[in-house]
Amino acid sequence: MARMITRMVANRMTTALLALVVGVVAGLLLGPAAPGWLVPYLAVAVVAALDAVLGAARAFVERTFDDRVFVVSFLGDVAVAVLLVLVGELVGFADALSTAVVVVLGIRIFTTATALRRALVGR
Amino acid sequence: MNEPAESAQEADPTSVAAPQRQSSAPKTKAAPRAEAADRAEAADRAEAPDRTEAEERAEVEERAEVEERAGTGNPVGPADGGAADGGAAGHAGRVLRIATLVLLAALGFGGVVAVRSASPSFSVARAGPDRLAATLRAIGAADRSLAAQEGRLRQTAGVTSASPAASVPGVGRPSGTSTRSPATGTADGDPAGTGDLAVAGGTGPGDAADELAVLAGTVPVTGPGLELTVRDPNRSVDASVLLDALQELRDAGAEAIEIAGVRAGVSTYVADHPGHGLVVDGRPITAPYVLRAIGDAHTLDRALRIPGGVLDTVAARDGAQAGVRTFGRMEIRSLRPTPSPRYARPAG
Repeated sequence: MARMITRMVANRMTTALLALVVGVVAGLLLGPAAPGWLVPYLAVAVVAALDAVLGAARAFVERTFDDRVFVVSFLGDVAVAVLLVLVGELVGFADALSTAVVVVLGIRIFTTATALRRALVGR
Repeated sequence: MNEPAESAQEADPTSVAAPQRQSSAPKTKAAPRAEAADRAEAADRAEAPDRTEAEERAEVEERAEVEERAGTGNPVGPADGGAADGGAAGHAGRVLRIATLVLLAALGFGGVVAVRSASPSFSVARAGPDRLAATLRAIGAADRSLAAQEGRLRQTAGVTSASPAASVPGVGRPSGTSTRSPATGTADGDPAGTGDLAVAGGTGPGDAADELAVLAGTVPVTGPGLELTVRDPNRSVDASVLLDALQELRDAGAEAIEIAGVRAGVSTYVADHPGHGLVVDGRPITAPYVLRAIGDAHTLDRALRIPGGVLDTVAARDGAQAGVRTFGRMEIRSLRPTPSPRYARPAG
């Protein structure tokens, strides 16, 4: 039973990493340059997505991962981050708000990374 | 973020084992569902509110089954997806799983694109005018400080090569001689007194005098350049505008400048002359003001067109208009009096 779960974890992890690699390779091969107006949004979106994925990794290690939660949190986080930057752009402090988003997400990423490390090393 | 995850993965052994009971379901029933996964998910969402506990339970079982299938490496086939009552939920789970992978791929893709877009060449290409102006200023400042450093180093090189006579012949000034002009062979033969000047300019005494005369405005000059004409019918352009234009042209590397027929030099000033126009170096001038500058015409042109720069400033003044014409070759014939310093002498 325990062995089966371990294998399952390893397998899903592999698939996830494979998907990530596929995305990276596609980006490298197609090599599109984001249009100028998109770049600030893309940057925060990537950081938000990174946060979501790290959170998912943590949940995965803690065995509480759920696809539905992940999809919703991923899209939600990205949408909120992009929305904040958009609001900042409209109000006039785009730079300040994207900094705020990145700082908050950065703190979360660190927290998650710590939990992840504890879960992995603590075993 | 993922805390409230359902406890499918932690479900008791019976739920994990459950699929075996259902794996004998008919294959034909599940096959079309696999293709209509999206519709199934939509249906799942639609029926979500009035889901019974049994269905929820079925969904949990279904997910556990999918989990197990992934773990054992079985290909995803219709055979084991056929839980008759929980099918829709199961396909929703599969769609969600695919969505997870798609999102991960999207993250990889977006990350690469973002990193590429943030590389310096892209960031310069899409930087706003303000940012470009700031970058330009920073580069200009770095350029000036490097030029000053170069001057000091040349001077040091001149001193070290000039004082111990011919102990290190020609070693002290190779860089200076190679960059400016080939006519510097004579510099090596200079008496020590003029050596500093020659080394500072990197050229022989005659060339240096000519160059200095160009910069001092005591000789007529010719070369590529541009002409800036400022029309000012309402007398709304004041001295600061022309002074800004002068400085902008100097910053952009203009080597000879003429303001309304007055050759500009280091001590040139522009002052307001209320009711009449302006005064340049003591001479009253009236609109239209014509500035002519010799230098790299393209660079000068761009310098005047910097957003918020000279042309914008003039355009913002009431009724004023500015026009720029570039020339491949033009002449500036107006002269400045030869400066004759009364106090300052070259320091030995």
